[in-house]
Amino acid sequence: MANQSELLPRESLLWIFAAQFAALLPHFAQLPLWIVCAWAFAVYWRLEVFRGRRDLPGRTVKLLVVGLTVAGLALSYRRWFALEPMVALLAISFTLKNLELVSRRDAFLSLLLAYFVAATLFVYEQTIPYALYGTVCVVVVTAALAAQLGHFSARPRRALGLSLRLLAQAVPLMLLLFIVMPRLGPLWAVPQNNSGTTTGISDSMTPGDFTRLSKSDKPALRIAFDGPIPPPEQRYWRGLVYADFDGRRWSQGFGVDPREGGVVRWQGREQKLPEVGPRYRYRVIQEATNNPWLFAMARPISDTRGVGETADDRLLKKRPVYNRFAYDVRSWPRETLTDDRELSDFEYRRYLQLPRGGNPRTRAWAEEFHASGLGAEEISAHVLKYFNRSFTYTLKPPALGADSIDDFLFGSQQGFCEHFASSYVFTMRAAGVPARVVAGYQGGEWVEQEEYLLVREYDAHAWAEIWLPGRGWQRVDPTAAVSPERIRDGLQSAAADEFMQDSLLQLHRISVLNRLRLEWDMINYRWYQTVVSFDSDKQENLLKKLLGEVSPLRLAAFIAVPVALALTGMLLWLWLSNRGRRLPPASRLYQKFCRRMARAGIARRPGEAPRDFARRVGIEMPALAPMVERITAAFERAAYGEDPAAEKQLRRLLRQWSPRANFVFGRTADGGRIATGE
Amino acid sequence: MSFPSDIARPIADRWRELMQRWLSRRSPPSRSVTLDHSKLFILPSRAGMGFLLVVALLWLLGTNYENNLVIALTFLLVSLFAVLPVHTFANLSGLRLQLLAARPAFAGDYAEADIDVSRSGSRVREWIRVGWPAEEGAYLDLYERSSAEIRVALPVVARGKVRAPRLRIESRFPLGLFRCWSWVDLDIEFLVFPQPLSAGPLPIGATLSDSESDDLSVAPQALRGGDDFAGLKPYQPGDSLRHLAWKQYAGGRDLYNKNYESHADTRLWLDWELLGGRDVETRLSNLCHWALQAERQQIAYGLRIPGSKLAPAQGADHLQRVLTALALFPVKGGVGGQSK
Amino acid sequence: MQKLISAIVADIGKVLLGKDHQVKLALACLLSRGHLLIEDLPGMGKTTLAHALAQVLGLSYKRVQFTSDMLPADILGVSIFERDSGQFRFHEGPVFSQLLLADEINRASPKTQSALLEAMEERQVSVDGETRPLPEPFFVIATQNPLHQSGTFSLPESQLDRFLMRISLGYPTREAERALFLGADPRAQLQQLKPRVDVTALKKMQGLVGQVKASESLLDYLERLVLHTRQSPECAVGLSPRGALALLHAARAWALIHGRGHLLPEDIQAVLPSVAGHRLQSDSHGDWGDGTQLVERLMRQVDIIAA
Repeated sequence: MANQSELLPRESLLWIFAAQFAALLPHFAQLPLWIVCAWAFAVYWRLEVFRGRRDLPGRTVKLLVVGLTVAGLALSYRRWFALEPMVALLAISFTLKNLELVSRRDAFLSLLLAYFVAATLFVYEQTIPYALYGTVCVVVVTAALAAQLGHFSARPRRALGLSLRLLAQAVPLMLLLFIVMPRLGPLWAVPQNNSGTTTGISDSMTPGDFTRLSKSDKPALRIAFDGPIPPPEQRYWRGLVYADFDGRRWSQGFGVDPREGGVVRWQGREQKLPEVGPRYRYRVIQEATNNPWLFAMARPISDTRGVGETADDRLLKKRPVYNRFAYDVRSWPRETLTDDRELSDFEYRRYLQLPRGGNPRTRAWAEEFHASGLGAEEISAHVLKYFNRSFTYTLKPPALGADSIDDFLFGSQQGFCEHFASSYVFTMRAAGVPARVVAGYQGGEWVEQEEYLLVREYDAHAWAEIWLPGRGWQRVDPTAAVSPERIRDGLQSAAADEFMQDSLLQLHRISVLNRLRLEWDMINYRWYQTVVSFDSDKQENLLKKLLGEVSPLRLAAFIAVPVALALTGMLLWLWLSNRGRRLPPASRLYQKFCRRMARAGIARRPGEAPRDFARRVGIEMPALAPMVERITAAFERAAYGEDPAAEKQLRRLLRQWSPRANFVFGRTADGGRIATGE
Repeated sequence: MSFPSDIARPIADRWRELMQRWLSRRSPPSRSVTLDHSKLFILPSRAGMGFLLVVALLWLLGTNYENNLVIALTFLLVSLFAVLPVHTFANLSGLRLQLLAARPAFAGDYAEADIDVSRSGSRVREWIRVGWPAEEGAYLDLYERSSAEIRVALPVVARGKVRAPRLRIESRFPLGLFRCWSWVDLDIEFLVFPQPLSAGPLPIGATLSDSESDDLSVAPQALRGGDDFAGLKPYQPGDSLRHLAWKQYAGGRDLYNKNYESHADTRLWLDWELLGGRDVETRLSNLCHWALQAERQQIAYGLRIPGSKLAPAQGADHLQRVLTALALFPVKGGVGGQSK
Repeated sequence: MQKLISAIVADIGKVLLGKDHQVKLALACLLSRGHLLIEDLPGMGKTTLAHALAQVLGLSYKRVQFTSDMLPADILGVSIFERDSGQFRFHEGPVFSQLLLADEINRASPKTQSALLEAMEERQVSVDGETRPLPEPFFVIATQNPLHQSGTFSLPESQLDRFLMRISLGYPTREAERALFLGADPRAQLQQLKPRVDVTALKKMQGLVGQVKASESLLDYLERLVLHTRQSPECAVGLSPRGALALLHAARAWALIHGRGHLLPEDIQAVLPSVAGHRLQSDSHGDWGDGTQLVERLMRQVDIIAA
């Protein structure tokens, strides 16, 4: 096409650069600096070319630039098949394209790329601000596309207005497609964005880890219940089980992590469900952690794809949670199940494991319990009573020495959940009771009349489980012995003075802000529930709700009716907007008259005044003259004299009269012709 | 028809012919054409295809990452694509094209036609291209005005009356992803003058037909180069007053009449016969060149070609007549018999 | 009223045979308080028209033959020191008349021309720092020879705007010419014309012009017409708002002359060539003929009823 070889005008260039900038802006933080600089430089160069100060780079320069960028990419990214290199590649293609942005075709190519770059943004984040920004991007890119045609369209307001109008018209169809179009699963494994550092609870626990978490009020989980809701003291969201202790650090140890050979029952595999039904059904929406573990109450089973249950009653995801992830869980509290399983030798060894030496006082103390022949529950009660007597719960525990358990139990006696859990499990193991540390979240805050439970990072908690022969694993929370408020009311009331002390603004103390934050979280939650996590299940449910049943016929009607309506609307618009401003009635009547005259063989010329036309009719078709003169006179009075009576007269005259009939009559009846001809 | 046909590809020709016939049934030639659905065609442009490709890639991205926002964006773009043809179509639909004038031109040059493009209704129109395919054509907007006059050019090769092929009117508004077009025949006929070819200086004084009696007798002294003053002759009633020797009369002498000897037609005749030995088209081209030259030098000139004769005169109208006579000279030379 | 106007037109028609249309235009021009420019060859009856108008309307009439050595004072007037009274006394120039025929205005120097044009526009004269109003009504008929002769200064386009209309009388029709040959001396007939109205009646008539009704439909047409002159590529410069207003005013006078209380499109069409012809400039290609032809072509392109 000839127009595609046209040189790009200034507005086009500026629009293209604006679109590129909008699409790239959120990526700037992740892209290597050199790519950003290269892009900016390419834009600068192209503008200089436009001003005539420079030439477009020649072939050698281009080759050199391509070589350099490929080398740069290779250096910056080790892995090629991942998201970041892809975005970087797109950014680079922008840059290179800018250096040869000559024709309209180049402009189109560049803008189509911009759409793609704008979309990759969503792969990183699907939150509302990102969605809004993405929308802005699409509007800008579409406006830039519109601006490529004609200088009227390139005016900023016109281009943006056009773009907004077009997109607004596209939205209804988009919603329809979004609801109706089937969701296929991933067609092939795609590289995930795994560059982010892991957040939340990690796979090991050292003193201070949970204190760090307690300073963050970022949401971790959102839990919506379907049916009964567990009481606050039951809300333990188990995520990790630490079995291995090296004197300072608790870790999962060998055999728990599925990657190390642990037993995980993946969903979809045959499994025996307990005979009684689950007590709790709920859906957990977990923020990205970049870790594979999920959080649920004890004895969970999940039907969500890619989620499996481990032998120690936890949920795992096949691949780390790189994005916000929702999973449905059914939980059977342990007391509802009769677990006649015995611990294997391996498990005994595992849950009694202690480091070789260290913490002699604790070992000696535990030995006393063991020697006195107390049962596991009694030992536990003793230890908890000891905690209850003289320990304090604090967010700022003093530093501990090499024998951290000894130091804590018999020295500082001030600590956070991890200290209590750690020392409790240590003591129990030393006393010969299989025990383990469980980490996860405890508690949560209701949002919007108990629509869902918001669990934040500062709700991170560590507690213990001990094995009771015949009853299985029992949860023991040593923190509860020290600070029952922590379990009942959460951290904020348990450690009110210390809570979030390091944050710059004590925002949590302002209740209005707190409410606003909860509102915002609510909006986010709804957003996630309705849009981001809209999958084939939800799609089916929604369609069922909308259509009653999902049959092809109903589905077809569901699509066809709005489309037909839209089509009719558009045709109506076309028809209406093609018609000129509605003429006054007299003019319309006169036009009707003119159309009839044209059919009779004499058409009024555009610039011909009614009276001149009547005169011409008088000459060319004398038979028609008297009537035409009457009509013309009536029209003139009606339209220009604004005489309503004349308008009525005109209407009457036209109703009775047709030039063709008159014409035939005038020709045949000679008398009439003579009479009218004069 | 003057547009070149591709002999090497008869099938393409046949196809084009079929197309033309179909088109002429669908929109017959008329000096005023209103575009409507029966005359408009619409298809995605190449950019539109690229857009669809991007949409497909986005869908893959969204599906593979199970990313609803990417999928939503994909659907938004699909919907946008679905909405566009309506706008592109609306941009042309209801436009009225009217031929205002087809300007004459010289062969080998561009013939220009003035066309009025107008919209009824309040809907603005943008980025409309009107022209004959191989040419760039004219772009217009009906944004702040409701009608515009454009001038489109067609290269013309042969002299005579040239029927212009169908005009193409096209728009890609609003995003360039769809192309809506129509072929309209505005019944344009160009008058194409011969291509001016130099044949040396003007044949001033050259006469071939001395003996011929001119039916258009014009006083010779009104012309240049023919007034050889031959002396004075006593005035007789009936003599032309214009030839009175006033100077002598004022000097007190009798009334005399200036006498002119030469009766030969010494006016400038651009004569077909002066250019013997050349072929018809070259002769016409040469005559055309002379006529233009004479007009530029403001010399009265006449034209004599087989079948028509125009008395010497001057001015735009005369030039127009002369050139028209040359343009419409029959292709087979000497149809109207030899110069008499 | 209608009778009176018909009588006036008929009276002038007696001396200026077969030029009813031009006479009516001149009358419309006068009634809408505009000035008239007649572009024609000598001997076409320009003077007769002016004189007859003055005669029939009972206006004081002066004729000035413009020459290249004319000074502004020759038209406006001059203060002369009078020895008797020992004072300067202002001697009014020919411009102090109700109907002024400025013959061959293009012969005068631009300075003199603009002095007259300014007086026409302002309807007053400022001499020696004193402003003197011109008589009411004040009507100028200027004539201009269309041929470009040496030693003339044709009016610049910006100044042409000062004239409401530009008309040309043209050759008489064959019958009119025959009647002219057969008839008595027009000059003698001119003397026989009696005033039909006096100044008050004339002023009243001028007032009536403004009362001619212009309907919505008509204003629509006017608007489209004006817009078309601005948009058409044939026009380098479209009709200015002042031009559009002048058009409306002249059309109203035309309607009044034809005894109508409302405007018809043909009223506009009738005055359009005279009102717009000298205000429009055809585009630079210059092959569109003179302004009047252009206007007529534009007029044919604009539909009266609808866009």
